[in-house]
Amino acid sequence: MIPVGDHMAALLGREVKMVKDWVEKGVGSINDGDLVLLENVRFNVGEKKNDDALAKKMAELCDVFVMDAFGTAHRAQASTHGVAKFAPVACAGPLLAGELDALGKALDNPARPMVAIVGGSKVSTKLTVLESLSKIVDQLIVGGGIANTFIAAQGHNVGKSLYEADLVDTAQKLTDDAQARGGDIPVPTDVVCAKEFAETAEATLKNVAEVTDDDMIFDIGPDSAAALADVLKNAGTIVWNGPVGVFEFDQFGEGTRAIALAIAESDAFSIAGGGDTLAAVDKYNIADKVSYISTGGGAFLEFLEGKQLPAVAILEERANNQ
Amino acid sequence: MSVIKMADLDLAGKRVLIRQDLNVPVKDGKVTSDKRIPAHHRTLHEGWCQSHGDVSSGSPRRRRVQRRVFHDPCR
Repeated sequence: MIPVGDHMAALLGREVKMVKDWVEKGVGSINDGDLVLLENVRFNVGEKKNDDALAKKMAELCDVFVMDAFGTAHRAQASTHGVAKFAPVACAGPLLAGELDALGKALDNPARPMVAIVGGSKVSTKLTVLESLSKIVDQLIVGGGIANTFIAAQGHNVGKSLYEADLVDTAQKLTDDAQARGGDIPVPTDVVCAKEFAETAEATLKNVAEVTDDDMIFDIGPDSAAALADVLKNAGTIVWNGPVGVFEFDQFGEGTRAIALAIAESDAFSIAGGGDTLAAVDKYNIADKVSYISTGGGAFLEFLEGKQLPAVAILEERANNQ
Repeated sequence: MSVIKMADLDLAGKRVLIRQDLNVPVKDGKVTSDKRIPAHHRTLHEGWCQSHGDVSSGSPRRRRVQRRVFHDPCR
């Protein structure tokens, strides 16, 4: 907490009081105008369980509760949901309101074709997202470890790559379903491999059918990237969450770079969200060419799925029952 | 359905509890990338202006819930 408080104080040019044990002891005496930074809500027992007793203690601290953390709006926890039930007034802060407005407008009636890129390490953590998005979008592109499971589903060896053997059938079904709807979930035709996960690892370009037992797939190859770039160029709406390779290491970053540049050059309305994705947006310097950048990762994806975000639902309920 | 927005409220003299996302990378006691913090500062700044008409003339009682200081592995 201290580094963040110091940083804030410097940016705001004001003193920032910091309070650690605020749930039990309260915040002490504060004067009009004081700015108090409270210790990480995640440290509180009952936070994750959305405990009512904890939420009430939080609510008692204030006249107005402002929910401004879009990134956690998909979680019903004491500080995102419970407190909003009990606070005298509960409202959305400008960041949250801005996200809801922008994403809602973009997805209400998206320009077609709509393309989603879902990267990241595991199918399991993004399975429902993949299932829902594959029904909404015209083309779903998978990347990273997720793509490896789809590559395995095509019957290819993925060597020592990160993949989930128990989800190969699921990946196959997603692809079959997409094709039945006239879409597709393409897998890379060429990949960049290495023998170890390291900054200095030597990158080798291979046809996807030539991956050997000791290979690890860390990126898509230039042919695959060019094919995806084509799809992106012709898209009406692009949703990007998750890099397609280990772009932190430059030798495995070309695929993600190609995707980023294609998004930047596309006339499509583009939305990017998620921590890794934003790091890629930064690294390849396309922030000003992406139509909308969301600060949410999981919340962003759940919004795309059309799910009701619990922290937003309670704010709506409170607004309705005024 | 819609929500109440902070911008629509009169915050003068109010105690405001703001839930923010402050999970920023920290190394050796310093924030190394502050992309999130300036965005949240605008919220503080706006709240401030809302309660006083301008930033310099005193200020409301404010409180914030600090969110996550370190990288959140769940995201």
